[in-house]
Amino acid sequence: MNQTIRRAAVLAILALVLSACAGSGAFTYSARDNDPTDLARAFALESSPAAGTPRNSLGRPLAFLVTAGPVDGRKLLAWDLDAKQLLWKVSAKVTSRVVVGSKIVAAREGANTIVARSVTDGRALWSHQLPENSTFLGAAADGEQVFYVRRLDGARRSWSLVALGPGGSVNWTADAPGTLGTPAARGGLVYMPFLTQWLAILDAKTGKQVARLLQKDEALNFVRTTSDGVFYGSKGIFLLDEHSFHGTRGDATYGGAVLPDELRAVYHSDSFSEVQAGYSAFDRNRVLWRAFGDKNGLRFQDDLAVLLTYRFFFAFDATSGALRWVHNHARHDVVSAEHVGSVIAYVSLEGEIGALDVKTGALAFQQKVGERLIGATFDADGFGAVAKTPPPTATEGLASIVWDRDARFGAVKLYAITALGRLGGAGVTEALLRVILDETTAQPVSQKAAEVLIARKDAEALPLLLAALAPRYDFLEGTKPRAVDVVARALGAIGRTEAVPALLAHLANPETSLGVAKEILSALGDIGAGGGENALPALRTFLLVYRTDPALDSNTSVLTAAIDALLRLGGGAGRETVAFVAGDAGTQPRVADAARRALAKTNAPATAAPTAPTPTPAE
Amino acid sequence: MKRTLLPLVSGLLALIFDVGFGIGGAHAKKKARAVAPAAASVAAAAAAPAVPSVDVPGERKLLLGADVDRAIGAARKLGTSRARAALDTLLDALALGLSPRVAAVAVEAAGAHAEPRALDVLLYYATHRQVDVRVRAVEALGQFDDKRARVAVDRAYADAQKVVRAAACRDAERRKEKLAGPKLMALLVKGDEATSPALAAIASPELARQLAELVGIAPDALLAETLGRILARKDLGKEQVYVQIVESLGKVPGDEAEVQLATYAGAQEKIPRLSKRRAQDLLEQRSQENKGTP
Repeated sequence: MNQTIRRAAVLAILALVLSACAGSGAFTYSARDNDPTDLARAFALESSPAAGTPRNSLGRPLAFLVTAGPVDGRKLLAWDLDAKQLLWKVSAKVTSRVVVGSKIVAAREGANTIVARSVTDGRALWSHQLPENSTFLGAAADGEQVFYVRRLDGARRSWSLVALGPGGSVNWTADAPGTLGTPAARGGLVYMPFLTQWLAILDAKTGKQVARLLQKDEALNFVRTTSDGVFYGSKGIFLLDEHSFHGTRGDATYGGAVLPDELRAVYHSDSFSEVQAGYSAFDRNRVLWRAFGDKNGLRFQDDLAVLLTYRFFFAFDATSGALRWVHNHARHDVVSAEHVGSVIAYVSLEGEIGALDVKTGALAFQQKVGERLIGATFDADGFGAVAKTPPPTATEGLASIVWDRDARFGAVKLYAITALGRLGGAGVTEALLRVILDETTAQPVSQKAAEVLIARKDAEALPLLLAALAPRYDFLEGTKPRAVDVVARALGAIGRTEAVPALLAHLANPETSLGVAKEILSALGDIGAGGGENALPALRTFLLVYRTDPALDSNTSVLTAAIDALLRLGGGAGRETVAFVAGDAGTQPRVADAARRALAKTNAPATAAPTAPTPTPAE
Repeated sequence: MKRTLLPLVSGLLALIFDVGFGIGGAHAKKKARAVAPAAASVAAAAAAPAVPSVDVPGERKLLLGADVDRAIGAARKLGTSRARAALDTLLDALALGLSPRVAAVAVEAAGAHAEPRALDVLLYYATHRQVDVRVRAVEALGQFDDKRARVAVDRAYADAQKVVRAAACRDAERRKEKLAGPKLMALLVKGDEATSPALAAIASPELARQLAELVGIAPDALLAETLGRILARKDLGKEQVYVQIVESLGKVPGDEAEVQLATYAGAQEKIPRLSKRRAQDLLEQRSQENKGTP
């Protein structure tokens, strides 16, 4: 009996504990998932904001800027993008992203305090202290509420979503037995990534779960709300709509942009990353996008996805992956940027704030705020600005990236070179040549530029290539040619005879390295019957004079190239020369072997010719 | 292996001569007419001593043989002969390719003939990848007044290798080539020692004045040595020119300037000269300054 009572008591206590864990009732393992009725109820509950409008009650397109430097000296600035002026500036030890509601902006300040400030003038309205041993994991705001996620780091970790109302009071708390991501909120609903599988939708007033989506075939590590929709996903983007209850990519409104493999493409910050609860390198490497759904699934606005990587913006056709435009932000890293509708708004580390036309990449405006910045939050949906100057062409934009002196962006430069190679026009070869001829270019970048240049076979660029061969080694002038091997290969690929004299001049130069000489000889062979005959005497002389040089016996590739070129171009006479080289005792052994092998490949072995009487000199 | 020319090779040579180096036959005759009398005079001068009898076929065999030392000896002998066949043999061998050590001597030997038909081969070898071969070719080309030869020697001033540049400098010295002044001065600034005797050989009062402007730009010792060499010349004109050079030398820092001043001041001459007294004064002045230096 006692045992029965004891067991009943234990079960009752366990039930109480589980119910306490459940808190608002959200985030239980047993909640109903993917129920279309629940989802419809959530949509009914939502008071959707007007598309293309900011959240803030001022109705102004604002950027909230956090200054760089030690935390104690930081400031929070509100910048009116439309008026292009500072709205307010306050001292604030901001250590997280800034979130924007209607009348408030909030952020973690210092180690563990959430401070809400007036959107009108930046004065502190209220603050909320996080419990000891807790970690802030991100926040969102909607109306006058702030929602934040904390992790309690005791013997056993636990996660909670906390809703703070006016005055900083805790309106409700929803505890979770597993990881919660950074929340998002809009129109009276809070959207919570949970255990990278679920998206829980909670009533912002009560914290009660309204609906929950279990994503079955893709992890879920972000949720993003804009004035025109709610989006979630990881590798791709789901639009929250009436199809979301399916929980699969195929049946939901889902999509992704076609983007180059060479560049890192992330659609949103990782909600489960503690670091990304603040401004971080993620903000400098991400895809900027707006999207909507139609019968074909998720569509990108203007069919465009803009990839930001530190200082460079690349706009891609989201369907084909074709590069539409490029913008190189000179010198300073862009620390935050957002696609706000018709422009990309951005701020840089050095306090530049500006906007690019989404469709063209043209600079609409740029000004300085007078502070160094570590990040910004834009509440500027619908903000537009007209560019007064035409944007650079894609070639110009890519070229400026390739030539950029900033040595950090090897991968970006490699991509830019590849992209340049796909474009037409003489400007491309000029840009590639400039990279190749610049001795400060990093080797992988130079190598990639060389590959692209050679593959282009751009006959129209012949004058540029020949001009690149014009410099000669000159001790007095301190000049020396650069990348002759690459230019030779490019000329060989083009196959125009005009290149022969310039190539021969470098072949004859004793400062031309053996490696470069080999490429010249190969190029002469490639130019071939179209005019390579002009090079025959020089080829013959080169082979005959150096066949006896022991220095070239250890590196036969040069003379092998000469042999190959002679056999390709020289007809019978060329063959005779090679046969002589193969058979003459004065020829270095490896060179003779190479000549014999080359002759054998052409199916006509070198035969010993009959001897002739030695000419008798008349003295 | 029997080292005889094959008919195949004869054809090859003809091909090279006509198309490759562009020498031989009518082409060579035409060139011969174009070559300046200086080349002929060099040839005449070379021919003045008793010309040794050379077994050209025998030397040819050795020249084309595998024994490098004997080939070098053969090239030297063929260079002493003035027989047309001797030069032909050298040019044939160079056209067909010789080991660089042999080629260097063969180039020098071919140059000794001072025959216009050697010019194309020598011009080619002036760009040979082996430095010693290049040096010999530049020296050989220096004996020709041909425009292309002059261009080749002129290019040698800009060669990457100091020894090749030195060959060009020696040519300027020998020919007293005043047009080489700017290049020699540029090489002096870069520290090429061979410029010193060349500049001294072509020096004029104006050149000496230009050299004086290189104090602090050119290496001190080399500049001092050059000015000292110029002072040693007796044909610079008025005493004031020498005084100015002495003054310039006095401005060059370092021991070498003092050595040159002392050498000049100490040289025996019948008539006392102002420039020597000035050199002595400068030496004493520098000596005092040196004593005052802790």
